Amino acid sequence: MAADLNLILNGTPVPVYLGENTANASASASRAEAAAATAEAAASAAEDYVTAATKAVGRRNGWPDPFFRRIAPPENVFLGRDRWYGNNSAGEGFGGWTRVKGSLFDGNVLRRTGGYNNTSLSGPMLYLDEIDAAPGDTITAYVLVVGSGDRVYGGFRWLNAAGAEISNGLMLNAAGNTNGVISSATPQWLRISVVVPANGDRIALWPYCLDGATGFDLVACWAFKGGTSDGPDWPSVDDSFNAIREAESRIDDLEFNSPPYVGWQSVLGDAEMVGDASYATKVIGLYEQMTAKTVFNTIQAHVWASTGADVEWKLFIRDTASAFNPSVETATLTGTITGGDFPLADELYSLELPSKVTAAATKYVFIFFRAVDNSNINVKRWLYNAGVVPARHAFAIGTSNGWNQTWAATAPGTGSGYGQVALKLLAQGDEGRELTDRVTALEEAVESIVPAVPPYFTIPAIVYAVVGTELNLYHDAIFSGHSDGLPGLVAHGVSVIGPKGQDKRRGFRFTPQSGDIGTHAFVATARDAAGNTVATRSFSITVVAATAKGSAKNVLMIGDSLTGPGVITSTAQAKFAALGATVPTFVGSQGSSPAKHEGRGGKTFSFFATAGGTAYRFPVTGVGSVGIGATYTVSGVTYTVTEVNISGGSGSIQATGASAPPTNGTLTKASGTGDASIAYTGSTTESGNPLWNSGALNVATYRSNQSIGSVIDLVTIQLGVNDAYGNAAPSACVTYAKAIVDAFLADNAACKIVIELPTLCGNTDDGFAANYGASNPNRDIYEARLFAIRSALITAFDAGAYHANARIGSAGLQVDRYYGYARSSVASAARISTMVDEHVNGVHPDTPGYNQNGDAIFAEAMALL
Amino acid sequence: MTAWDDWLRKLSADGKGGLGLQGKPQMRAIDRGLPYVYVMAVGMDVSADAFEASIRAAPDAAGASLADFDVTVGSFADGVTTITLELTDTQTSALPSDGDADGLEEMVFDMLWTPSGGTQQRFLAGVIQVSGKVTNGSGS
Repeated sequence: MAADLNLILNGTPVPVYLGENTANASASASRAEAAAATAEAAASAAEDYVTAATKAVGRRNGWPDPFFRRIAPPENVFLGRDRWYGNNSAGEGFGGWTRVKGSLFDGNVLRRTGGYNNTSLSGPMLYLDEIDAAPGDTITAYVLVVGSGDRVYGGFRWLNAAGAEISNGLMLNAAGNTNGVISSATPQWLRISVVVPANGDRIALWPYCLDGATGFDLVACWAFKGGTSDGPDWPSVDDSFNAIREAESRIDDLEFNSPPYVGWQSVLGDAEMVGDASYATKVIGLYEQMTAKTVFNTIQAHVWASTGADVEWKLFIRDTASAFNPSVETATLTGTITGGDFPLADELYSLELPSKVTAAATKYVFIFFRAVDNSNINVKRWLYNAGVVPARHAFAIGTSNGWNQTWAATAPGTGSGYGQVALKLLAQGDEGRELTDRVTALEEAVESIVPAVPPYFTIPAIVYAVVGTELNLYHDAIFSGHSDGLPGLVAHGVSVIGPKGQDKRRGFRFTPQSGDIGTHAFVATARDAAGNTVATRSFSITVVAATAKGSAKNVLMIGDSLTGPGVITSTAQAKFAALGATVPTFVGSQGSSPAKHEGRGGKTFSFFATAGGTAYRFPVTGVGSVGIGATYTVSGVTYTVTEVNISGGSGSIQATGASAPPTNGTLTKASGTGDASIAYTGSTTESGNPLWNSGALNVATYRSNQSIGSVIDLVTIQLGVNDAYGNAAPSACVTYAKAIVDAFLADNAACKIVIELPTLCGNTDDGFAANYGASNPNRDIYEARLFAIRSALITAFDAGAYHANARIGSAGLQVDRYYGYARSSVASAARISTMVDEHVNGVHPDTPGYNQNGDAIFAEAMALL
Repeated sequence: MTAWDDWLRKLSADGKGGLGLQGKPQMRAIDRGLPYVYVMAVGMDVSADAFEASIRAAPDAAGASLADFDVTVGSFADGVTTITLELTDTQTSALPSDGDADGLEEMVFDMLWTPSGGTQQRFLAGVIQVSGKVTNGSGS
C-alpha cells in the first residue's frame, strides 16, 4: 500500500498514511524492513563470495611487493608487517642486500653482493593468511633472478607464528632439481610448490650464491595458494602501485610542508623531558622506542656541552636497546655541530637532521653526542620515582674518550636514580624550520635589546638588617630612573615609607636598635615630575640581633673584581669578629685568611657555572688605562683582556690567549682601548672556574682542593657587572645562577645561597669616561642592562621562587653611588683651573663603598647562618 | 480549485503536503457538531517529538485560530508513529458557518512539528472542510 503523502522532514522523505490507510501503514513498513534485510543478506553473501573467490587458489599474490617498490632496506616493515627474514642479525639487517633501480620491470631489484654466500640467509617473508593458506594446503612461491654467471640457489624455511623455524628446503629450477640456476641477463625462476606443515604461519624465501664473486639481482617475487598449475610462472605487471606511490608522495609533502608536527613524544608530555638532576660524561646516548612508524627530521633533548668545542652526533635506528659500539655499528646519520651552536647550559636543544628519517614501529631511535675535545656532554636526568608510569629507562653513557667504546647503561632505579629524560621527535618542513630559525633569531634579538620599559624598583621581598649596623637603601640604587651626581635621581622622586628608619634626600637609612628586632613592612614609591606614581614596591626589613654565632660556619663569597680586592669580605668578617665567640670561617682560593673569598676580576655567571677556560695573569705597574676586550700581543701570541684589576696604576691584568706568555715581557696593544704598551713581570697561568672539576660543577671537589673540611653553610654570589658590560642575556644569567645554586645544594642540602643584586656604578659619567673612554656601552646602556639582570634574578629567585634556600640579597642597593665611588679633584678643563670632583672609576666602589657592601652581606649572614 | 491554490502548490513542492490541492489527498471533513478524530501514521519515529495543529479561516488570517486540535503522539511501532488530531463537538460546533450555502465551509489547517531537541517547523498543511450539520446529535 503506497503512502498517501511523502513529506520532506529535515531533508528526508517520510511517508505519511492518512486516515483509513493508517491501518495498512505498519504492514507496509514491516514489508519494507523485510525487503531491506533480504537485500543486506544478499549483499553480505555476495561479499563472502567475492572474498572466498579471491582467496581461492591462484587468486591472490602472497608477496604484496612483486617488484620491491615498497620494501626499503633497512626498513623491513610495510603494510603493517615485518616482511623480511634473516637467520641472524646481519640477515635481518639486510646484510649483503641493497635495493637499486631495476631495468627489467617498473620497480627495483634487491641486489645480493657477491661473496655473501649462504652465511647470512635472508629474503622475503610471506604470510600464509594473506592467501588463505593453512596447514595441509599447497602453496607455490617463485623468485626471479638475473646475474652475471654466479650460480644462484634458493632456500625456503617454514616459520611458525612466533617466527621460529619448523623446517626448510631448497627451491627447484625449471629442470626440477635443486641445482639452482646459472644466472645471466635472462630472468630465470626458482620455485617451490609445497604443502604447508602443521603450525606453518609464514614462509621465508632466501636466494643465495655459494660460489662466484659477482652476486645476483632478485628482480621479482610472487606466490599463490595452489600448485604450479594454479598460478602464473611470471609476475603480474599491473601498475596499481603507481596510485599508491602518488598518494604516499602527497602524504610526504603534506607532512613536510605543514607546520612542525610531533612524530614521537612521551605519553607524559613535555614535562618528561625536563628532568630533576643532571649527569655529564664523554659520550651521552639517549633513545626511545617507536610505537608506530615515525618520520622525523628533528630531535629535541635537554643536552648541553661543557666547552665551546664542536660536538659530533650519531643517529642509529636499531631493533634492540642492547649495548653496542657507536664506532663499529654503522650509523643511520651523523653530523657535527659547530661549537657555539650547541648550548653551554641546560636548555631544550633541537638537533636538525640533514634529512628525514623513518623508524618503523618497535624500532629504537638512538642519538649520541660527543665533544671533539673530549670534554663532557651534559644531560638532564630523572631521580628515581616509583610512581611514574611508564617507568623511566636507562640512558647510554661512554666514559672514555672517543666513539670507540661499547656504551654502558645507567641505573635508573631506586638507590641510583639515573633515569633518562624523554626525547621528542619532530618533522619540520623547510618553511617550518625557516620560521623557527627566524623566531629564534627574533627572540635572541629581543632579549639583547634593553627593554624600553618605565623605570622600576629592584628590591628583594626581604631586606635583612642587624642591630647596630647601618642599612641604606639609596634611591638611585633601588630605582632604575636616571641619576646624576649628588642631586641623585633627575626625573623622579622616590620615597621609602615604613615604621622604622629615616627616608632622607638620597636614600632610606636605618640603624636598628635591639627594640627593632623583628619584621617591618615598607613601601617604596617613585613619582615623576608631575607627581604621578610610576612604580611601587612593597617589601620587609627583618632585623636580627647582633649575637655571635654559636657554632663554626663556613662562608664563601663568590664575585668579580668588586669582591676580588677582598674589602667586602674583610668588612663582613671583621663585623663577625667584633662579636667575639665563634667567628665564621671565610673560605675560598682568593685573598688571605681570615677573609678568603672567591672573587675573580672580570668574571661572570657563565664563568662560575661552566668550565671557565684557562687564563693568564700579568702583574703590572704604571698603567694608565686598559679596556676589557682590548687585545695585546707578546711573543707573537695575542691576548684578550678579560679583567683589569688596577688601582693607582698598579695591579694585574688577566687575559686569555692561545698559549702561555713568557714570564716577563711587554704587552703591545693590537686593538681596543688602553696604553700602547704595558710591561709585566711574573705572569702566571690560572685555572679556570675553581668550582669546575672533572667536567662538572663539583663543590665537594672544590672544598677538597681548597682544604675546606666541612660543608659550606652560606654562599653569597655577587656577579652581574661584567655580564651587563658584556651584554649577557638576563635569562642566561639566571640559568647559570641556577646551576651554581644546584651545585652547592648538591654538596650541602642545608646550604644558604644569597644571590646579591649587583652594584650599579658611580652615578656620573666620569667614572666610565675614566675607564672606558667614550666606548660602547656607556653608563646609561650599562645601567639598563644591569637593572634587567637584577629584575630577572628577582623573578627567578626572590622569596624562594627557585629553592627555599636560595634568595636575593640587597648588597647592591646599599652602596652610595656618589660618595661610595672614588673621586679625584681635577681641573675642570685644560684652560679652566676651577677644581671639580670627578669619579675616577666606573664600576668599582672605593673602600667606603666596599664597606657598605660588606655591611649588607654581614646583616644577611647574621640572619641566615 | 481552492482560494489558496498557490499556497497549496508551494506546500506540496516543499514536501509539506498541500492537502486539498487537486491531485493531492484531502483531510476527511469535519462534521459540525460532532467530535472529530483523525489519525495519521508517520513513517519515522517521532514519538518523542511535539506537535501542534490549528484551523484558521485563511493563511495569515488575523486574530486567534478558529480551533486548536488536541494532538496525541503515539509510540513508534512497526515502522510508523501514529498521530491523532481531535476536536470536541463544542469545537466543531463553533467553527464558522457555511457562508455560501453549499454545505461545506472551507478553511485551512497546519501541523507544527518540534523534534526533540530541535527547532519547530511546519510538518503538514492544507485545506480542511467543515461539513454542515443536519441532525442534532446527542453528543458523546
